[in-house]
Order: sequence, then structure tokens, then C-alpha cells
Amino acid sequence: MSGFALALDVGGTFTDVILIRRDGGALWTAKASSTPSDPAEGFFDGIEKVLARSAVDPGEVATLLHGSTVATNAILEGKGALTGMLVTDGFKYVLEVGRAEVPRKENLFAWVKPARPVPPRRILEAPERVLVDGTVARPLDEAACEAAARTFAALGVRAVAVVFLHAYANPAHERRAGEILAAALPGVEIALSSDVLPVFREYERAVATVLNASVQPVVARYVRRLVDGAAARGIHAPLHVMKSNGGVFTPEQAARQSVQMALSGPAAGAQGAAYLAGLAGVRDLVTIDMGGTSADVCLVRDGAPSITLDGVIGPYPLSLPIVDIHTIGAGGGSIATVSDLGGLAVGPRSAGADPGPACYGKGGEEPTVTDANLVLGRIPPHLLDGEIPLDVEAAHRAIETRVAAPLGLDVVEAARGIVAIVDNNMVGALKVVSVERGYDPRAFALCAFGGAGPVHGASLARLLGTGSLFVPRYPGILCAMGLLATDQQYDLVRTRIQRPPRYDLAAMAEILAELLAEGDARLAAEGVPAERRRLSRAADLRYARQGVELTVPFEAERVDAESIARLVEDYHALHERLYTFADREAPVEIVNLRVTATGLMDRVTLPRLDAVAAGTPAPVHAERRVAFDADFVTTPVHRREALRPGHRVVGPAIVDQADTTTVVPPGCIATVDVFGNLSVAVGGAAARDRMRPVEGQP
Amino acid sequence: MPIDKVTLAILGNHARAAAESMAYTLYRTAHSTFVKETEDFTTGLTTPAGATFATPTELGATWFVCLDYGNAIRAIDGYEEGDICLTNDPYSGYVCTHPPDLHLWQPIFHRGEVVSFAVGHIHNTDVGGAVPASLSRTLTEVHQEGLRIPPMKLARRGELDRSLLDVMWTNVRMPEQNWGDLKAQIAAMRTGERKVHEMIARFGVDTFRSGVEDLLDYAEAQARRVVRSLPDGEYFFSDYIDEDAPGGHPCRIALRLEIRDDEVVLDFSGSDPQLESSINMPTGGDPRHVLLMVGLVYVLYSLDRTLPLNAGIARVARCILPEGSVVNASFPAAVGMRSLTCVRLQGVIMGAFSQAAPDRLPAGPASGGPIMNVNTVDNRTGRRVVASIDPITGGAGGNPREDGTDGSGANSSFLKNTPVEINEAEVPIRILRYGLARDSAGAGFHRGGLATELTFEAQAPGTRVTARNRDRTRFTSWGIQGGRPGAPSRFVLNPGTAREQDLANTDILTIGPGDVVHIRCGGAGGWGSPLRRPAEAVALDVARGFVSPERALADYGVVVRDGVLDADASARERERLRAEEAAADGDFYAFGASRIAYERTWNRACYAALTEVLASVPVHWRFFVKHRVFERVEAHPPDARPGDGSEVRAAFDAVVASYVQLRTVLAAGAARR
Repeated sequence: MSGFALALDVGGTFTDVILIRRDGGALWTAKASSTPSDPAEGFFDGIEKVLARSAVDPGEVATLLHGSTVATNAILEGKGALTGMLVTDGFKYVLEVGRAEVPRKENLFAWVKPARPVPPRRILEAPERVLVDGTVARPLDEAACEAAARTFAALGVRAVAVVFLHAYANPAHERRAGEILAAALPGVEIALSSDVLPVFREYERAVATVLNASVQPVVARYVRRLVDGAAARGIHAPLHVMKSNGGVFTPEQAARQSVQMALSGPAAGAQGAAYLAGLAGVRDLVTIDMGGTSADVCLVRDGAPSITLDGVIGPYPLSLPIVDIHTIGAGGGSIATVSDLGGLAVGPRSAGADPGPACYGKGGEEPTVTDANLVLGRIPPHLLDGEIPLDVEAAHRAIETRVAAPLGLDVVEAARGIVAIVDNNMVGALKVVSVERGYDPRAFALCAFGGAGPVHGASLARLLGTGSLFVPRYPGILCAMGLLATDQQYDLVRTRIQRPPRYDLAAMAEILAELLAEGDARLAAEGVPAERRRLSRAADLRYARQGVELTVPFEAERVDAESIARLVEDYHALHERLYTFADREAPVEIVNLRVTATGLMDRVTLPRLDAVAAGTPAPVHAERRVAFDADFVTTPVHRREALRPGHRVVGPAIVDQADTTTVVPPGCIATVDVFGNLSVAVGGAAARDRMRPVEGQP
Repeated sequence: MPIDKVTLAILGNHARAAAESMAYTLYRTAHSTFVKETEDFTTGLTTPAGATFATPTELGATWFVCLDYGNAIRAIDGYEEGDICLTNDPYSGYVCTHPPDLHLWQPIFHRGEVVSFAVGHIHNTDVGGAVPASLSRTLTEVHQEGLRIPPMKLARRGELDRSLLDVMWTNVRMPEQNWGDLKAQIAAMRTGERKVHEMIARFGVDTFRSGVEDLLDYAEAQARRVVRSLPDGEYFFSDYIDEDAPGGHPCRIALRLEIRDDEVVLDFSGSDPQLESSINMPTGGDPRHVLLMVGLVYVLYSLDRTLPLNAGIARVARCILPEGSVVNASFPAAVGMRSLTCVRLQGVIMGAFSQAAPDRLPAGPASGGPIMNVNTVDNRTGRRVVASIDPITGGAGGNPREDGTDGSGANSSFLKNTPVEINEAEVPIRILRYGLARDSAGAGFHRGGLATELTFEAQAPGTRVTARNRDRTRFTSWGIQGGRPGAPSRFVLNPGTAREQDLANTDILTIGPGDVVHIRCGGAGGWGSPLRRPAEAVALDVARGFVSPERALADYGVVVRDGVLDADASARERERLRAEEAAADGDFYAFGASRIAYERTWNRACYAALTEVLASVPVHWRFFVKHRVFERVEAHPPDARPGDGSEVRAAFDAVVASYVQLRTVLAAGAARR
């Protein structure tokens, strides 16, 4: 395999770049500042930096991969296009009412419902009605659609979502209304719910459709600029953009199904962790990406990040298949506060990047987790290998005045308390994705990355009870690494509710055949050769009248009584594994049919490092006074880039690299694999057998 | 000895995570859809004395943080390791509050000593009794509400009592489901036990023991600080349930709130006698009963979001709950549907406190919308379908910072609705409209939240519609500080046709194909004068369809013509209305027209007299006597009622005179005294 792969991941602060020879011959990284006002600039800057550093001919770049938060930010910051919505007469308030629920931790009497992405005055009604079986009860009033188009024009909307009841069962009215709107509103983006998310539950479908409509123009403009700009720099490789489901898609698809990028940021990190750990033979892990303001946690099983249909972006549900990430407000910038009555809390409020922790010397006076780590000596007194010095005195002062003095502690005790509390908060999130879902963390490794992850990783692994910690070679750019491990992936779905005993086998076969044909055609249109196309099938099932479905693989060639019986039995078994019981007497409904169309991409090979004799002590670069559980001890500091396969790092020790620090506490031993990843044995039970459910059995 | 603050913070996190873990275990393993959909369950950890120090925040009935298991715990002699106890009897210890709630508690031992209890309940879909699901407002005695189990051991040293289970499963309609849910509860108890053992291993037993007491003390101190921020004084507030029986008289809940330094007294002495329907609350007169503490926790947490949530909060309060009243029913009064009363009670507590903190608390919440059930036949299959379609919810009262939330929150609890597309897939009805109800919100500087409304058409003959917990057709939510009351709830058959019929508080009806039912929750009250609301905000509400141009003019003095705000005309109209407003006396609360009319007769003096005379008769006579007194008072023409309570005393004397049985009872009582 020849040529180079170029991956760029745009984060909130930095754009991370990896350029790699696809045969593993060489690898370069670069960091460019992200440019939120025009993210494409950071993208181009990153390309130029890495090309300059590597002196690679841009014409030799064969693969161009990109993770972007452009859709995410447009949604979260409400900067999508001004969007209108056309709905079935009588259901104008579908967004306002939503599912009517209040999060259980909220005070019912003080809760304020988050604003909806489209306000009622830009939601118009059209007389029409399709029933649950797809039959038309009331024809579409086309004159009303034309009138609506005039109102939308007067309101100045740039995108319109069309969401009619039961459109998943019969999209004809939505399509016709879409045509009328498109004809009357040139240049306005139209999104149909039957295209964006053709499944039942009108609120969730409406949210996905309006979000898609509002970011379509933004994403379309953005990807066009990327393709043109890359070409102008001599790169003609096809661009692929990261999706929330852990796959990638083409710029053309991104411009139409834009909302599928909305949760792609953390997905790439989990994908990267799964990929690197997989190369090291670790297939089951819990990942934690801890940055400045928040930590993203994900469960990886059998080499693949877990997928959910219950995604959330900001306050909105997003029922598309996405990598299942749990986010909490715990990061290096999380602020420690003491209440009047002496209660100590850390986060969720964060000092962010500006003013940042007190030690950044940018005017922050409140003590943060980073300040505590600095006072304890766990991180060096500078960032980025000395480019940015940190103010130890300021950190000390902040903890002294705001935490230590009010609580009557000394500064080191207070700092240790801050770190202990934030560790406990994070372990809570790690348990949510593992223990609370029925998995035994002892069967997993913890993979810690992001700027702050490896600082806390060993302590978290111990609290969680995993035997080992895995720290990738480049923990600061794992998202970019994840891009190299993706395939093109399209999720197709259709709702057709089937009740026993009368499952309509012919109808199911027909829908599956349509979805398969559609998936294959989609891949063909993307230029994926036939031998690289993979089509897999699944169905969503549920016990009758239950609110939640489970997705069950359905790989049988034929839809017949036997294969359906097997599907239903597989559902019972999955239900049993997840919820400890199956109700084999209850009728099982088959609700949605799914096809995932995958176009396999070339895998790159990572460069291998030259090994030293196994057990060789790692070279010591310097020494630092570090406080672990007891007093400060003189601790060897290693440089990450000096570590080779075979080296052993015995705790207490510190491993510094440009963008993070790995803390190896007393009692832990770190080894280095052939790709430069660290595996830290943290002591305690290190069961590496298959995971098993632990809770829920009386 | 108090433990250090860092350790306490971490211990507090562990304790909460333990309770959360119990809740996840229960939720994940429970069998009934009801548990998953409504999350009507709790989990927690208590001290050996029964005070709850840890509850979950993500799952279940998350605000029952002041549950005290003391009475239940003390009802059992001699705990051993592996024991699990249970009760669902509302009259044994007053931990359980209606028979469907099955409460479990398990002692957690360390070296032979009880250091904590794992506790929790599940609302079972059915526990037997007169009606499926065990709940009906029409039931009159707790005996009709299902099998009751007084506190006893379900498991001894880890061995389940099979005979007890046999009795339970013989008496309920869906034993497999109850058994599945019970197993989930047991799993949650075991999780709690394991988590406490982990905490002891980590912190040491001494730190654990004193730490959990410190957590309670800390919450208490915080709660005291919140109360101290309120002005001392006495505040009175009352509200009504529309009917104390089908077609009956209002049921009043009255609260005299006393704030002294860092303590509060909630005196419910003016509340109505217990009813001969199932909306009574079984509190046993416990001055810190959890059903009363829920409202208090909402108030204090509204005032301070950093309040730690555990039973320490309850120590600031003392409730006075007269025996034989709707807030302290005597055995064997039925209690199954006490949720309607509890909801009203939360509003009353919030309402009373709003006088003490008018710039920090909201106006009256929306309520009165039912949970709708439909029982009909699918024309295509001939199959009978019985299904709950939606809770009809309303919004929150306007508050000092913003409008009340529309359509959900406050009294509407945490219930989710069912998507229209799923309802139509499962129930053969046609939904014509589901959304927010125009003009339902109380006007205000910050208006109340709008109610939701649902309109649907039946497709088959003999379609039975049940609207559980109908209320607020007569007495609406209230506005404060110049804000207006919300609109009443509505339940109408065939609206806008010649066959239109106002169903008022009816809760069951049978309809046929083509019949259209419209149901709307009550609206929430507004905060502050509507004349202070910017005209642009009112015009926006008109554009959103939240307010009609007619109400914009009448309530806000804002003129919107063809969707366009007429600023000059509005300014003139608002000037005129301001003059009117200044001339009015400017009460703190604004009540709906029905309540104002009702209280012209039934004012505080009359209610004081009623409370006094009813207290003089035995509990089982009170409801009866109340009705006879009402009949006699209301038989007088309005201008013949002095309004000082004398008419009530006169009516009472007449009732006594006309019932020899009552005279005998009173004479016997007097002799005993």
C-alpha cells in the first residue's frame, strides 16, 4: 500500500493533524490553533504545517480524513440557518410539548424547559393526514403548502423541515410538500423527516429533521470550502468526514445528512482508543477523554465502541445511531469551591481556557484541578514542553485562600482532597457505562487520554477496579488517530410495526430488500468497489407496549418463520443479558428494520519502535518532588519519546510528554508496547477474562 | 467526632452513588412496564435509626429524600444478617402511603452490628382488591385497596419466606409481574448492602458511622440557613380540590405557616375532615411525614440549589396534622388515590411560602389534567384494547425570573407522554390535536405556563374513556403579586357541535364512533402585573398562538391587529388599565372567579367555625355532618348569610337537632370527657 493518509481533527482549542505513510514507514504530527470563527482556516493551517514538517508531496496524499465540530457548534450555539417547519394540522406544538418530561434531578417547581430549535411562530400547519398503516385519511392541501411557502419567505427562513405524522409509513405527502416548497423557495434547504429519520415517534423525528435542516447550509458550505482548499494545496484525495456512528461519509452525503456529524467529536476519540488498544490485543475497555472542562466516557466491547439510539445533543434528543458517550463536567479546569458551611465541591463549573486555572496566570483566582495537580508536583511547572510556564505560586495561593484556609487544612492536603473528589466524580461516570450496564470492570482495561486523562488514569483504574491502564502513545491527538480507523458507514432504517402472531413476512422481506438495495446503491455511488461493500441487517424489537426497543442483528438470508423465530429468541436472550430476565410469554413486536452499509477503507499500518531488552529500566530524564498518598518524594521523570518497547517504568514515576503527563503511582508498573503505548499494571485484581454481568441477580 | 470535610465530601459522593447504583439495578431488572415508564420507585440508605442519608438523583421518585423508616424498622424485633423486611400497609408505621407501594428494608451488618439499612419501594401495578390496578377514587375503605402486609420479614438469614410469597401471589392479579418486580427490589437491597460494605472497607466503620450522621447534620444546617433567610411571621394559605365526592362539595386544605428564626411549623388544622373516597393521606400525624416534606424540600431547594438532599432537611419542620382530617386519615379510610391530595398539598405549601419570599418563589402550578385511559375495540381485528394514552399535563407558575414552563413541570411531575404515533399504533383512536392550549396560562409580568390539550375521535362503539384524577374545573391555580390565575381545566364531548357536552369533573364516560373528546389541563398562574409585561412579549405570545388577540387586549391591554402590534393603542389601553389596577385593593393572591364567588360564602370565618364544629363530632360523622351543614348554609339566600361563621354554627345546631343519633353520640362523648 503506497501513499499517505492525512487525518485532521478540529477540536475546541487545537486542530490535531496526523500524516502517516500508509505502509507504516513514517508518521508526523502537528497542532494548529483552531479557528472557531472559520474552522476551515485551522484545517488548512494544519495541512500546511504537517506538509512543511514532513516535506511530503501533497500529490501523494491518497486519503484525507476529517473530524469536525462545525455541525455540533452550529447546533449548540444556535448558529444554524434560520429554520421553519411544516407539520400536520393540529400538531404545531410538537417541539414545544416534546415528551413533556423533566429530568429527575431537576426541581419541578424551578425547572425551565430549554428553548426549542425552532419557535412556534416559524412552525406552520398543513391540512393532510396519513395513518399508521400508511393510508391517506386526508389528502394534502397543496394550496396550504404554497401559502406556507409565502409565509416562510416573509419570515426569511433559509431552511425548512417537513414533518408529517406517520411519514415513515408513507412519505408521499412529505415529498409533495417538499417539492412545492422547493419550487417556491429557491436556495432554501428542505429536509424531510422521511429522509432524515424514517422511524416513528414524531418529536424525536422532528428534532432530528429541524436540526438537519438548520445545519445543512452550514455544513454544505464548509465541506465545499475544504475540498476546494485542499485541491488548491495540491491534495486531490477524496475527503471523508467523521460521523457520530463512528464511520465516515463523503462531502456530498455530509451536506445532505448533516446532523449525522453532530456527535462525531467524541466518537473519533473512542474509535481511536479502540483501534490502538486492539492493536495491543486489548478488546474490552472503558475509555476516558479528560480535557479542560469535561470528561467523555465510553465502553468499548470486543474492539468496537458501544452504539446507542438515545443520543442527546445539548438539550435535544438525537435518535440516530451514535457512539455511546457519557459526558460529565470534570476536567483540568474544574473549579473547587467551599460553601459557607464548609462543604467542598469540585466542578461542574470550569475556568475553561480563559481565564483558565490560577496557574495559567491569566487572572483566574479560583483553584482548579490543574492547580491541585501542579501543587502536588504531578504535572510539570509548564505546558507544551516549556512553551507556556505555569505559576506554581498562584496555584498555591488559590488553593490556600479558597480551600485550605476555610477548611483548616494545609495546602497539600487540600490539593489532594480536590484531586480525590474529582477522581471520585469521574469514577461515577465510568461506573455508569460499565457496572450499571451489567459489566464487571475487572474484565476491562481503562484507556485514559486527553490532556488530563493520563494524569488521573492510574488512580481512576484503581478506584474502578480495572487491573490495568492503557495510555496511547499520542494521548492528545487520539481523535485524529481514530479517523485512521474508520470505514464508510450508512445506517438505513424503516418503521413497520409487526405484531405477533401475524408478522407480515413478505412485507419485511420487501423492506429489507429495499434497504439493502438502497445501501448498496449508496456505496456504489460513492465509488466503493463491490468487494469492499458490506451490508448487515438488524431489527428493533420490543415487548408489546414497552417504551424501548433493542436492536438485534438479523443475518439470516431469508425472512421466513424460522429465521423470525430465531430473531425473536435472540431478542429474548439480549433482553436477558441486559435486564437479567426475558419474558418469553409476552408478545414481541418487530418495530424497525435496519441495514448498515459499510464501505471498507484502507487501514494504515502504524510505525513500530525498535525494542530494548525486556525489563530494561527506562532512562531517567530528570527528578521532581511529587506528593502521592503521603509526603513529597523525589520521583524520576521520564520522557515519553525516549521510551522503547521493553522498557519498564516502576512507580512512583512520572512520564512527561508535550501534551500530557502520565502519573505512575507507587505500586504500579508501566511497560511499553511496540507502537509506544503504555500499559500500566495498577495492582489489585486484574481479571482479563470475558466480562460478565455482576449485578441484578437476587 | 465530626470527620474532615474532604472525607465527608467523598463519603457523600459514595453514598449517593450507592443509592444511584441501587436504583439502576432496580430499574434495569424490574419486570413491569409500569415501573420503567413511570419510575414510581425509590431506593436509599438510612442510618440504623431509619433516617435517609442517601437517595438517587437520576432515577425514580427523586424528591422523597426525607423518608424515615424508623417506625417500620422498630416494628421488627431482632434483625439478623440476610434478613429483608417488607410492608405495604399504610396504617402500620406510616412508611407506606398506599397499598400498591411495597416497601423493603434490609439491615446491613458490620461485625454483628447494624450500621445502616438499605431501603426502597416499588409501586406495583396491582396488589389485588376491588378493582384492577387496586386504585379507584370511589373506594371507601383500605380493605378494598388490596392485600395489606404489616411489617414482617420476607427473608430470614437470606431464606425467602415461601408461605408469605404464596399468600401474596394468591391475592394479586398479575403475580409474575409482582414477583419480577420484587426480585428487582431484592437485587437493589443486595446492591445497597454491597456498596455499604465497600464504603466501610474504604473509610473504616467509625468514619462511616459518624460520616452519615454528619451528612444529615450538614443538610440540616443548610436548611436552617435557608429558613433563616426568610422573614419571621405567620402566613396563611388554602386551596381546594373541586369535589370531595362525585358532585360533592369542595375539599379544603388549609395551612397556617409559622416561620420562627430557623424553624417552620406547618399547621394544617383548618383542613377538611377525611373523605369517603380514596384521596385521603395516611400520615399518622407524623410531624415530619414524607408526604408533607416533599413540598417543603421543593420550596427550600427553590430557594437554595446547593441544599444537600437528605432527611436532615426535615429537622427544621414540624407539622400539625389533625387526626381524622384529609391530611391524617384514621383507619380504615381509603388512601389509594392520595396523589391528587399530595399534589394540591405541594401547591399549598409553595403558595404559603411565596408570601414569605414573594421575589424568590413562583405562582400557582397547573394541575387537574387526568391520566387518560381508553378501552375500545380495534375494528380491523376485533381485539379489545385497554391502554393508558397520555397524562394531560400543564405548566409551572410564573416566577420572579421568567415565565412558567409550558406544558410540563411543577405539579405535572416527571411523567412522560406517549408519542401520537405510538398511541395511534396501539390504540384504535384518531388523534386530531395534541399541543399547548391557547389562553390557558394566567397572565402576568411573567405569565404562567400553558396547559396541554388533547383532542381525539373514537372509532368504535362502546369506547370507554377514563380520566383519572380530574380536577381544577372549578378552582384554578392562582397568580401572585398582581399575576392572574390560570384557566380552568376542561373536559368536553363533541366540542363545537350541537351535541357538545361539558363533562366537568366526570372521570368516566362511554362514547361511540365519530365522538370527539377534548381534554385540557388547568393553566398555571402568573407572577406580577400583566401590565408590566413588555407589549412586544405579549405580541410574540400572540404570534406563537399562546394568547388570543382578545385576551391580549383584555388581560394585558395590548392591541394586536392582523398579527401587528399597535404600540400607541396599546399604550393608551394599558394606561387605562393601570388606573383600574391602582384603584383595586391589590391582594397578594389572585384567584379564579369560581373561588372568589365560593369564598363570598365560605370565607375564613365560616371555615374556622366549620373546623370547630366538625372537631366536636367523632371522625366517622364528620364527612356526613359537613355535607349537611353545607346544604343548610347554602339553602339560605346569599344576602341572608352574615359571613362571620354564625351561619355555620346555626346550621350545625340544626343538624344536631335533626339527628337523634348524633345527639346521643355527642352526649356520650361529653360524659367521657
